[in-house]
Amino acid sequence: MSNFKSKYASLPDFYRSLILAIVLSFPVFFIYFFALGSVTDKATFILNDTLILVLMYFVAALSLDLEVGSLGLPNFGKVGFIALGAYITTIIMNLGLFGNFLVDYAFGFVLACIVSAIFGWLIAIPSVKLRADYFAIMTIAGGEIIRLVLQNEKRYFWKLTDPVLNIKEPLLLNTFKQNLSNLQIFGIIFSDVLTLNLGSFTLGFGDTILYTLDLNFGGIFIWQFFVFLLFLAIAIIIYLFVEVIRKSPYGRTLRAIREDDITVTSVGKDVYTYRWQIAVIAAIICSIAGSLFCILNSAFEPIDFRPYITFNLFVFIIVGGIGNSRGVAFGTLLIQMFIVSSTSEIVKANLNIKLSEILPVIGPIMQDFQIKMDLSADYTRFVILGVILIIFLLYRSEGIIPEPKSNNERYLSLLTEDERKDSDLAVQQMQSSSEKDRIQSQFAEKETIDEV
Amino acid sequence: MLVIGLNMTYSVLKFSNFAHAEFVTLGMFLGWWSLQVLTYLIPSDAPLGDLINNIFIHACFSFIGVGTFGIICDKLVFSRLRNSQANATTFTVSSIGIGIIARYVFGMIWGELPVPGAKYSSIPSFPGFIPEFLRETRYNIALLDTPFGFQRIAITNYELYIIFIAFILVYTVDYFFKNTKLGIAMRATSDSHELAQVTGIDTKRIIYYTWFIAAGITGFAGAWIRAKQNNFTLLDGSEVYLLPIFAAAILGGVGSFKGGIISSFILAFSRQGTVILFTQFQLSNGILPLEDILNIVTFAPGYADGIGFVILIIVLLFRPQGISGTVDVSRARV
Repeated sequence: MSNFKSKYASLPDFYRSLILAIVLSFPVFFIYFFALGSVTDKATFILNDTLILVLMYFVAALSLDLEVGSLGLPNFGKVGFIALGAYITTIIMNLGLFGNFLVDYAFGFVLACIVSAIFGWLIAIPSVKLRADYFAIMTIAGGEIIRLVLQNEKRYFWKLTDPVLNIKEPLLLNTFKQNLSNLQIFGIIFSDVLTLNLGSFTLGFGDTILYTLDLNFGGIFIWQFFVFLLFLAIAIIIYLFVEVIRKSPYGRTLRAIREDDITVTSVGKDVYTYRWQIAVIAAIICSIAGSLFCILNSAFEPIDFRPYITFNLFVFIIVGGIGNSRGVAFGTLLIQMFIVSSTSEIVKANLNIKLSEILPVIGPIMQDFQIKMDLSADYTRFVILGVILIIFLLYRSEGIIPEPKSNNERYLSLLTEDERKDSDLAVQQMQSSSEKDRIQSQFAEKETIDEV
Repeated sequence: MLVIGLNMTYSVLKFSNFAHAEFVTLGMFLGWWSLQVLTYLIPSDAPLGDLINNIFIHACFSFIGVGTFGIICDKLVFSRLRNSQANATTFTVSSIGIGIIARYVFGMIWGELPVPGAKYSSIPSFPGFIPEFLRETRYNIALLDTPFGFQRIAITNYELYIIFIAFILVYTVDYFFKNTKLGIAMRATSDSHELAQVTGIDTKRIIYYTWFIAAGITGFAGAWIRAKQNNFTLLDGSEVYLLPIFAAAILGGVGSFKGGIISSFILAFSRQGTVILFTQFQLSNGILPLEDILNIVTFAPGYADGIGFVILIIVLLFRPQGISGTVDVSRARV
């Protein structure tokens, strides 16, 4: 075991990430394909239930990672901004100011960004001066206040179901999908169905069939595909935007603040300004995720925006890799696949063990003592997510794909081949030696000087 | 009118432990569970049955259970994080993670919503030696004719006991922290690990004691609060009590027990006051029909849950060290 451990530790970073990724994704893919096998409409399951959800959460996780990963602000109120984005976009769409739902959506999208920027600024201004744990409490409180406002301001945020009796419901409906399915542009009818059938393959020899691979993916509507393209485009734009921020001198300043804010203050940068700027940018990105959320879930109410969504976002970024957009993408894909498959019907039906009713001798005693021991999918999912989070925090806090140690490729490419080799070696030496070694070597130098 | 969370007052822990909510939940569950078990084991007509099967025993049971759970948490996760010199963000995130794990493991064991009286009674009894007038279930203390309408203070015996025990515990813990050897050792450890070790204090053991007492008192309070409520769910700890606990702890000043109980009273009174005021604002024949005058905002009594957060934000803005605290909450700055 120790031999294996030392071998693992001596591997290059890339292979270590690869091993971890394979080890972690194998059970996830296993559950996912198990769930996929039971679904008749495979294309909808892959595209609509998984990928679109992943893209939406990817945008939200990026906004969180910009705060936690780049700046070290543990924001636990993300779900409030998702709610704001979803609500404002839907309300503007339901007003129908321009007559065209796409223009309405775009207008609501922009307005949601502005409103959440203002809210983000209001929450950020008092809280950026606080310590990390107080900042977390502050943002939880901010997110809860947003949820309370959405719940209680019936005048604006509740839907009027009966105009005569003035009865209102908290459930809001978004008509984006409906309108999109009725659309017809350039002869493409959006309610048509795309089908993909690759037949089925059987694996085995002779008469014994080991495994049957069913590749009849079923069909999806063109509008579903269009929604997927829209989500993909927005996610890519946000990804590029975040990458630009991270690679710019501004992003380097952010990382410096994360590591040591006193040093940054001493070279004349205003730390708080950077903090609230990033908080506002993250709020805007999060409200974009909310605008995508309202397309995804056409009906929602305030109770849907529970704090556990923020917790899921934290799991995504910590498993994938803090401060690293590609890691966030991988983590979101992996964990969201796990969540989707563990909430599917077949997994729930299979994983529903009531130990107190099954066990022969201890069971009745447990029933007498009112101990249930239900191993149902709903509980197990959260326990597994929490355990994964804790294990990553304890043993690999940089995530599956660690943050790149230098990202100034633009400037490195200006150097010649030899110069670059030298600088790479120097950086590697610096990074490979631990703090202790460095101090010892400094002492050794000092002693030699003294002897001379 | 008067609702006091006893648990609000005990934030002995030195970092923001979000798993604290799960200590409350576990305390509730253990109190309920020990009631079930004891009712099962002891027949109701047994002599001196209520001497064993009473609320004090349940609360002590959850004290021990939750205290042990706190030590387990520390041993498995927090001590390792301390050894690896993790930053505050890591501590916060991992305590939330522990909270989630713990909550759903409790759900696995006892089910999400333990039905009160599914098999036995869910209301614990008091021991027989307590006089009859103290076991009465409900008191109407005062009837006030205020401008806000006809208000009364109705208080149940559980709430009365909770207030009483809260005051006793606050002064005991305060004395314990300032005057006993263990309390002094705890304070020394929290100031500086190395210096405490130099003077011969076993810091590891002191940290375990701290966890046991802090978590145990939370569980004790949880059992009492459970007895007051008609029913309780798995999410009670994290969704109902977590933020008020933090609000009270910060308002009172972290580490100050007397400040904690004062701030709990302030929070509880302002919450109830908001309910009454906002209800009046909503009525068109109330003292001040603000909702009709200002036709843009709703004065829903549901906002009362948010008043704690507003107080929290105001406190953090203007007096972040709390009523009597000396803790510096701002980030290190030159």
